[in-house]
Amino acid sequence: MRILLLLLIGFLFAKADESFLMQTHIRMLPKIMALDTRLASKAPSSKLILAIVYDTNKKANAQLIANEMNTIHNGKVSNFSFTALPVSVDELMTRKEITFVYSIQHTTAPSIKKIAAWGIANTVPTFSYDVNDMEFGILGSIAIERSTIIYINKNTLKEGKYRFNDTLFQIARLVE
Amino acid sequence: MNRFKNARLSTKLFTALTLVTFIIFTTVTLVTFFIVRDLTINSQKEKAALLIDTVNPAISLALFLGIHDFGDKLSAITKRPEVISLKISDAKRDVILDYHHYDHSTSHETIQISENLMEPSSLKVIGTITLVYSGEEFTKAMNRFYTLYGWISVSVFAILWLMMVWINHLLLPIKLIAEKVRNFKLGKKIIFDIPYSQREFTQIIHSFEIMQESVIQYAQEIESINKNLEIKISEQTREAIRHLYYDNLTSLPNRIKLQEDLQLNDINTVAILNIDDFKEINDFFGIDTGDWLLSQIAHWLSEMKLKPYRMGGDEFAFRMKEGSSHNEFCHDIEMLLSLLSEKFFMIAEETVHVRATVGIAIDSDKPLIHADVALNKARSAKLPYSVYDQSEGIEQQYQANIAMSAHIRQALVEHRIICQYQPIVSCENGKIAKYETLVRIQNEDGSLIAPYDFLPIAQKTKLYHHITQEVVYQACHLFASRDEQFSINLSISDMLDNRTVTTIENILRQTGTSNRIIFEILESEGIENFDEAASFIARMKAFGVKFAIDDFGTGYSNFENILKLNVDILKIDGSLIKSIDENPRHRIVVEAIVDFAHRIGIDTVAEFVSSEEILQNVTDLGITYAQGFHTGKPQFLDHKPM
Repeated sequence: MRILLLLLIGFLFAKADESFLMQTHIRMLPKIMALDTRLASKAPSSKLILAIVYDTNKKANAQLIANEMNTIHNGKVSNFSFTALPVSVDELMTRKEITFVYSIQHTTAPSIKKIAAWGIANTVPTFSYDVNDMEFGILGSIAIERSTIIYINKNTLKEGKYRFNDTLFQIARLVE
Repeated sequence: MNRFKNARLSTKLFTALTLVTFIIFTTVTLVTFFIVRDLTINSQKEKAALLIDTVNPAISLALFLGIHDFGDKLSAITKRPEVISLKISDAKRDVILDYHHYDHSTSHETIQISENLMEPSSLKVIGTITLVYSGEEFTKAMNRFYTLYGWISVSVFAILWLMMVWINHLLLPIKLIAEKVRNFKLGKKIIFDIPYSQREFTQIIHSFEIMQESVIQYAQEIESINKNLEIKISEQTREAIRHLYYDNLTSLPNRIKLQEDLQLNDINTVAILNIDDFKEINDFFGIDTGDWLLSQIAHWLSEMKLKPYRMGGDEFAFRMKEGSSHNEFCHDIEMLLSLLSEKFFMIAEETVHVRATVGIAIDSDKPLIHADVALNKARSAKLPYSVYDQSEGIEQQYQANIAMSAHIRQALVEHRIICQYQPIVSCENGKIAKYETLVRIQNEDGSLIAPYDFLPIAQKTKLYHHITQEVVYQACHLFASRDEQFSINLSISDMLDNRTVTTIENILRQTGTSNRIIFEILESEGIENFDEAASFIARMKAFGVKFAIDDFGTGYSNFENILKLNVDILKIDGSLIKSIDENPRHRIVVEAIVDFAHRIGIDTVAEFVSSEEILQNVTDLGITYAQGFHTGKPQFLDHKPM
């Protein structure tokens, strides 16, 4: 019983932590997108598309995040208008107007690899919920440690020829 | 301003130097102060701004991204001790971070820098970062500045003081030269042994030496000129003394020399010799001959061993010899006069006999005056010589005369010459027919001085004409308002004085009294100066003036002269009238005069009618008018209203 209680408490804390991190991602990611210096040239239409990429059956989660993002930012970040859309991994491979990619929690490693490769190929910044996904070529992630830390994959940054506002690199932690 | 103008050169130099240094130093200090202060404060501001700039992008981005945990990003600032506080606010001015660093040095000034935090992509202001930076560096820098300039000030003023000493030292030779020049005396050459070899001083010294040579040369020339001048002055002085003390004509010592000789010793016995009738000699032979005679007399007197002095004109003086007695001196004078009376002098091949009169003053305190008095006395008494006798009071008389002369002048100035009028009555009816004007001096106390007390003195002091003019003026103006005849006494000198005659004519014209005025002339004067009197009478008769001969019967005039003078009245002298009832001879003379007057048809006036008996006698004798105390005393008359 005790073990069950401890597990329950642990689960609840874990859930709360995940929720806080997700909220942080929802608030920060459109802004990081806005720091892409080539953003204006990338977007063919006036509205930017921030893709919330999901794997197989996680569309509801992605939709939830997209809705939350659109609500919080009211479709606008900095001087740009954007829309957060749930996009499957496969769909992502076919779409060209996407300007930023966010891979949600529990995306499989093969999908992450595909997303990272697509991002490098199209010079579209790819961020993932899980910091560990950066090992598969994802550009960046946000973690909450003692403070909020933006991680950027140095290799991917070079490989994908991403260009961000310099200040991003002043606060971001570059990792290899 | 004048004090500075007259100040010492070193003081002026030092003052100027101090002023210039002070102005330059103050200007440089102030300029440097502002530059250092601005540079330091700007440097500190730049440092603070640099610190903000360092973190600004990261903070901006963090704020943009909503990362409010700035700890790591601000550590670059907050670890610096100069940062006192840091404040980050968002666009709504909500304070996101308010960092304070504890600082003990609260006395330092602080520098506050604020910058906007901007969104990285759109550059929209999303917040503010404010840094308060410590001014300790600024304060320290300024303190270092103050210390530095304090030392510079001390150094500058030390240099100034040294310069003052140096200037004084530089100008010391001038002071030494001045002292030497100040003590310069002729005959003592200045040696400029001043141990300074600067060119300026050697030039000054050289110039002074040249000047000294010139001065010495000039002094020698002046000394030479002075010696010549002294010789000339000495000669001139001798000549002047000779002129002052010696008579040019006779070369005898003069009056001044006699006065000085009298002062030098105790012998105060003096004789003054006057040549009798020398005026006649001058008039007869001429002045040159008179002078030649005087020089002969002087020569003769010198031979008499009496050491004569020439007093001026025809007067010589002698001083009693030392060791001689008064009697011997008087005897010598008697002998001199005796010898002189026997001496003949040659003039133009003619022999001239000269006589002299001497006045002697023995042991007198005023020997010259007293000898002169004695001389006058001797001349008056027709004596060969006379010795001054104080008991005779002659000097007092002279002093009284001098006082009276001053009194007359004063009376003329103060209009105290007044007239009284004595009635002249008709013997026929006893009525006043005319008045004789009699002059008086009214003293300040109102008393009167009779004419015989002052007129003789007035005649000798040339005041007589003024008195006559005053009397004519007063009488004519009085009788201009009356209808009687009036007479005024005139002297012959009045008639000869043009100014008096003109004044009389003017007064007669102004007052219109010429047909009632009678001028009385003394018989003796009229006869002695017959021509002058006749001329004046004729001139006045043209105005209608009548003339009377006053005191007739006492002189030596003959009736022919009276006829020629054409007078209108004979005033018979009082000395004949007053004794007419006692002295038959007088009566005969009066009868003759009256008879003469009747025959030529002129009136007669009897003077000194002092009693009824005399009045009766003169009336019986047929005299026309009578005048005297019995018929009327002198009185003041008033103007009668016209």
